Amino acid sequence: MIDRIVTKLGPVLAGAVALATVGATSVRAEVTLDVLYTTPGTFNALHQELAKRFTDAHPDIKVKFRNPVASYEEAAQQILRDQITGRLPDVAFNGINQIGLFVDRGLGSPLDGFVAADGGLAGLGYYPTLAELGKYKGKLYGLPFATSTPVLYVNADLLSKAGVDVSALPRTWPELLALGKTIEAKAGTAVTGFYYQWEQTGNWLFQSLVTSKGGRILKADGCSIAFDDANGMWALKTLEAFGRSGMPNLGLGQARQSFVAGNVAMLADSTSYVAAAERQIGGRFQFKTVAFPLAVADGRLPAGGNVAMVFAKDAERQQAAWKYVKFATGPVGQTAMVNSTGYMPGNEIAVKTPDLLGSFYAKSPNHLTSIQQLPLLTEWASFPGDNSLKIIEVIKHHIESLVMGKRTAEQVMPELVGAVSNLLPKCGG
Amino acid sequence: MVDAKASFAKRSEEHWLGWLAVSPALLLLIGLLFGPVAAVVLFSLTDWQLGSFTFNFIGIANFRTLFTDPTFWKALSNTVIYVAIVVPGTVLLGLVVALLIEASPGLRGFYRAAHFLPVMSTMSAMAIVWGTMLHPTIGLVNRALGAMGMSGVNWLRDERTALLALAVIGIWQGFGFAMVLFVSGLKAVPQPLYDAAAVDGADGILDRLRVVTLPMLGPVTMFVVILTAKRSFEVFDSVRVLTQGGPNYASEVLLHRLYTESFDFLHMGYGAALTVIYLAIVVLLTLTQARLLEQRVHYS
Amino acid sequence: MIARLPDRRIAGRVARHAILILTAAFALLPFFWMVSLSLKPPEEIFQADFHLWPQAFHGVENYRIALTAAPMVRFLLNGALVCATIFALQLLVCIPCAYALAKLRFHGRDTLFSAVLVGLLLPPQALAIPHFVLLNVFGLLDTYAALILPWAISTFGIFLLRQFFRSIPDEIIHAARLDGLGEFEIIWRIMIPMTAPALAAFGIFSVVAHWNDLFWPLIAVRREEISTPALGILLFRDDEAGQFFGPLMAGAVIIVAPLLVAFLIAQRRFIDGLAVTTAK
Repeated sequence: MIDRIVTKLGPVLAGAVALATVGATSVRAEVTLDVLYTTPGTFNALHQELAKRFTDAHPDIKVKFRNPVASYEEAAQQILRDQITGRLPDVAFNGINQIGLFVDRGLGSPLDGFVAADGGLAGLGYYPTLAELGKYKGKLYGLPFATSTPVLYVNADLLSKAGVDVSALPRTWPELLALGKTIEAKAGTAVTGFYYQWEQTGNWLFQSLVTSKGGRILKADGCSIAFDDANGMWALKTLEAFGRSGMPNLGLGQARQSFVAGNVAMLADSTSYVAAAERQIGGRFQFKTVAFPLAVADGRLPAGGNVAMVFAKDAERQQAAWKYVKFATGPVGQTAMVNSTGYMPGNEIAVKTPDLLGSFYAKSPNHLTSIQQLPLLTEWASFPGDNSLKIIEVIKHHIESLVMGKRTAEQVMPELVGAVSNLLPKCGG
Repeated sequence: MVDAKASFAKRSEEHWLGWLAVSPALLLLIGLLFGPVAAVVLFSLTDWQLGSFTFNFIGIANFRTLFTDPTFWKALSNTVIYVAIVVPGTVLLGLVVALLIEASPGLRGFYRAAHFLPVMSTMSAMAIVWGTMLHPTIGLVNRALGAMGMSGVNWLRDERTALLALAVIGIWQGFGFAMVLFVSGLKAVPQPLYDAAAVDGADGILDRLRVVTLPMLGPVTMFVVILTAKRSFEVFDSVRVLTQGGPNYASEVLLHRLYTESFDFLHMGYGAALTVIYLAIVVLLTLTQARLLEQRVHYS
Repeated sequence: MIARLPDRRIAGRVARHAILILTAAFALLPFFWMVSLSLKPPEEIFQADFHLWPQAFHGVENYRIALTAAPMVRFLLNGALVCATIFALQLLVCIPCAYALAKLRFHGRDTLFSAVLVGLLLPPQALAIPHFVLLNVFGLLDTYAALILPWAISTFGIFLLRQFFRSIPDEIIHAARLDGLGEFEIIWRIMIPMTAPALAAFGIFSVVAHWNDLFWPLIAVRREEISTPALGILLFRDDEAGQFFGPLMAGAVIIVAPLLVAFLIAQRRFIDGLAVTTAK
């Protein structure tokens, strides 16, 4: 009786066990790289294409993708969890601001050796400024994959209804706010005159305000707060002004959707969305990008976007991972990247070669705005210590209270500084 | 006539067979259910971190952190409010629809199917659709309101309405389930009862409802309320997909908080303490409801 | 019919239809919207005026992107595999247990049944942390096993089946025993066929719950190739997904369709199954 059951079930159970462990073990002759990237809406098609092209050129290296995550913060959370469960990806495309976060925890392999062996940074064509941003504590950990700067997206049609031409756009925030109000009055339909993407990942557009005024987020030692000065206060006051002007709480995705629907006149956002915006506007109105207003002549802008990092520890996998990183951040990979998104390439060879990107910028002036801001790039700061990600959330909530018109800059500054200080580790540690 | 010896042998064989039959289930009950519950309680009392091999007992320190965290209380109160909106909404809507469907034969199959579809659908996918419908300017809902001369708000990003919007989505998904249960309950009401009531003068729709239908639906209603309450306490998908607990924790709920703290921030001790509280609430709630409603319902 | 309308029959019926159409529209609106968006080109998705049917039909392109940008079919297959395996395991474990609880006498039977009742109260998500740790210890995270094993036991299944088994008269079982059938044969040849509706109902609950589950796959799985439907659909999506909205909606349609189609085909079975469960 029982053995009848067992003989019937035996093969079923065995099959189930075999199936179940299919994922747990992987014994392969060639190398299969485990790659993590973010923002699938923007990057899905691009990464799939890059992986295909790479494997065509390197048949012994396969590329498999993990489920992409929505944002850099989520990617960081997952990678930290992976460190504990022993399942790190081989290659990851992380926010530029997170290199320190990983390296401080012993994650990420230095790329200096690989780069030197393959011709050096200059030989491989990387923009020096961008390559610098991939360094941490003297070593290179990340190579630029998709870089961005903040720009102003402008609906030129709505502007001309208010009698203003794009080329005559004001260059200070109070004036832009006032212009936004005029546009709202003259538009004839319900529109939002001005929107500022304060919710951008890693407090990027808060940092943009501070640096555009010549200020810093962290002091040169990398672990004490520097935004508690006049520059930081100016940034908070500007955000407060946004709130008091009645800016709605739209959120990242919604604001972009509203813009391409023609309901927002001016949007301060990352250049990363430009290509998608053009596709979705489809010529329904005139869309132009304008440089981000600097508050002082020598103001700076934090470089946004992501870099390619290698997390593999095994030598053979590192070699394979390096080849993939070199490809993705090289001329071919960067050309594909620029063609499908609004990000800037990190590779000069791509831009200078006629067959690659040579003629692209002539045809797509909206992408050029960000490139022209390249000389202004500075670091996108991230906070050291265990609470790096929590600090980003804390800052975001304080900014939200400002842009929602709930608090004043004077109220927020001491609380913000206090909260962040509590979450920072002791310096010198 | 079975003699004593044979019945005794049979009895012990029955015991042995019984234990054999339940042993896989028993093992899994311990390994996958009660063991983990004990483990969670244990985690909540230690400072154990995922990946480490040592831990210390720190007593109720995790609970103290939990109870002094305003985010926890916000999540708790939000969850209670959510349940308080979704349960009556779902039950009432489901009951009304069930009564209407059963009132006459026209198109019953179509109505039943149409109302039940949301129950079968994958919430994470449908939440994305709801997100587009609730967009403040170009979303369907606000455009419809605008066409009727009213102005809509930014449903998912306004602190006042985010939880409400999620509650409506919760009702949308659940009322078809309530409806089906009520329909089967209605079918079980014997016609003679209505005839008897009619003889006694209870002939109108409302009278019939009051005297026969609703009392007879007592047990089913109890079942629906308990089930709906339990399901709405477990709300997660729509929160994760649409608001992630925002804006500013206005739509943060217990299970989402549990997920974020345990798996995003890796605060295992906090997460375990939160789990213990969550477990206690759901178990107590279900038991209390069952007890209360049982007292008020007649089993005939 | 349980209620006869008074003389104003027609007005009553019209009112009934009017209200039911409204509530049905509420239930169906997101589905229509989803399909509508899945057929539109990017320029039309965010435009200010409203059309249900696209002006430029872009459905083929959207569905093509949806199927190629993320392995939608793979997600569906994973869903089918995972749900079927879970249900099979549940049956394997629950049927003998339910039978024993219903028909056999042994020490501790009632205690065990009380334990099952307590288990019914426990929300499964509360066990996520220990399940995660357990799977990590055995190195099974991010595998099909991780998706399946925690669900191998179902207290709901045990409870439901036990109630049904109890309702089968003891005489049948005694007769079978006298005929020389062993216990497992009794289960196989008699109990299961007689409680087929309950098994079907249980199956429906189980499959629907696990097909639509987001919480556990989100924790247990990283790789695309073993992701289940509810998890898979999120792979397209982020704040910058504006450009992929059409394909995103197409993906949503693909994910949601199988269960809906199955339901529409087997409506009677679903709804009767629910009714049957309630009765017990």
